[in-house]
Amino acid sequence: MSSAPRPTVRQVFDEHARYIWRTLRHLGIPDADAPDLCQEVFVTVHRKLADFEGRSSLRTWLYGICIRVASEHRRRPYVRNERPVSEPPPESGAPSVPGPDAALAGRAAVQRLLSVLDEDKRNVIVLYEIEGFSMKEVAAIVQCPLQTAYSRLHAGRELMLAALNAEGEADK
Amino acid sequence: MTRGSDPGRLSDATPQSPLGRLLASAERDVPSEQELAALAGRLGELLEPAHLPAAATPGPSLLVKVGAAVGVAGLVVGALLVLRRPHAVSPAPANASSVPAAAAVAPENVSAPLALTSSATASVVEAAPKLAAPRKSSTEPAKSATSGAEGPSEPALLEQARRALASSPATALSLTNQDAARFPRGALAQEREVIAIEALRRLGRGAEADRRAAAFAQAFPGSAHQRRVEDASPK
Repeated sequence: MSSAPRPTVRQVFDEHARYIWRTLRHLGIPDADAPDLCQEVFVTVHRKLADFEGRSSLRTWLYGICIRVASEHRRRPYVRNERPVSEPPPESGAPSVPGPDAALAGRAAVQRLLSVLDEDKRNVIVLYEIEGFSMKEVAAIVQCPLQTAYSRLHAGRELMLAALNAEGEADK
Repeated sequence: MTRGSDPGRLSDATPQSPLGRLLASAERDVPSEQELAALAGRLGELLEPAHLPAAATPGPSLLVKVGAAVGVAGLVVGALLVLRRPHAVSPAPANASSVPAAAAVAPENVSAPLALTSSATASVVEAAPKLAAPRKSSTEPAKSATSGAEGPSEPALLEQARRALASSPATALSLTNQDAARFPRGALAQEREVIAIEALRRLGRGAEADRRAAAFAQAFPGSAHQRRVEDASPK
C-alpha cells in the first residue's frame, strides 16, 4: 500500500475533470452525453477510490475508468442505434463546411478523423497523441501488450492520415 | 511522462503536419467553466466532504430521522388522498412540489422508507398530469443537491422519458415533470424541455408546446437542441 495520501473525490475532480471530459469526447461520446458519462466516471471514482492502491499513477487509473465507461456506453443498444442530431452522419459528403469559427471546425475535423478508427486504435491514439501518456502507460490503461499498443498507434496514424488526405482530395 | 523509445508525437513534430496541427488543437478541446460547474453540481453529494460514504460517517442525526419519518408519513397520506379522489386532476402545485422536497431530506441509509418514498412520489406525480414546468422556489437548490439519492438519476429518468416518447407521449411528459420536480436545476434541463415539447406536440397540445418552445429559445439561445425543437414545430 502506498503511503502517499489518497486524494479526495473533490481533489480528483478539480485536477482531472476537464481532461476526463475531453477524453470522453475524443473517444466518441457525443457532447450531449459527455456530462452523463463524466458523472459515471466520478461515481466509479467515488466508489473505488478507497481501493486505489497506488500501483499505477492516479491518472492512469482514472483514464482506465474513463476508457471502460466509454466502451460500455457505446455497447448500449440505444447508443448503437442512435445518431446524435448535432453531429453530421459519417457518410455526409459535406463535412468540410467550416463551422462558426476555426476552433469549432478544427474540433469537428478531429472528431471526423478519430471516427475512422475502431475502438482499440482510437483509445491508443487519444491517450498517446492527445493526452500525452507514454506508450507503456497507454498499454497499461487499455490492458494490452506494449507491442500491440505500438501496432495500434501506427495503424491508427496511417488511417487518420489517409482520411485526411481523402478529405483534401474531395475538397479540390 | 516518460518517453523511452516511444515515437515522437505528431503534435510535437516540427514542422507540424496538418494531422499534427489538428491533434495539437484537440488538447484545447476542454469543457467550459459553466459545463464543469454544472457537472460539479450534479456530483454535489460525491464531492462534498460532509457526504462521504455511510461507513466513513456517523449516521443521520435524530432530527434528520424524525424529519424523514414525517416526510414519509406526509407522502403516504398525500398519496392516499390523491388516490381516493380519482377526479382530482390537478392537485395544488404547492403540494406536489413539496413531495420530492420532503423525500429529499431522507438519509441514504433509511432504505425501506426511501423505497416507499419513491413510489409514493411517483404516484402523486402521475396523478398530476398538469404539473407545471420547472418551478422556481427558494427550497429548490437544496432539493436538487440531494434528490438524486431516492430514485433514478436525472439521465436515467430522461432516458426513460425519451424512450416513452413514441409509444406513450403522456408518460414521457409525466416523466419530464418528475424530472423537473426532482432536478429543478439539473444539468439536463435542455434535454428535458426538448422531450417535453415533443411530447406535447404528439399529444396535440400545440399551443402549450409553442409556449414552451418559445421559452426554450429564450432560455437557451443558440442551443444545439434548437433545431430539434424547431423540427417538432408545425410548419
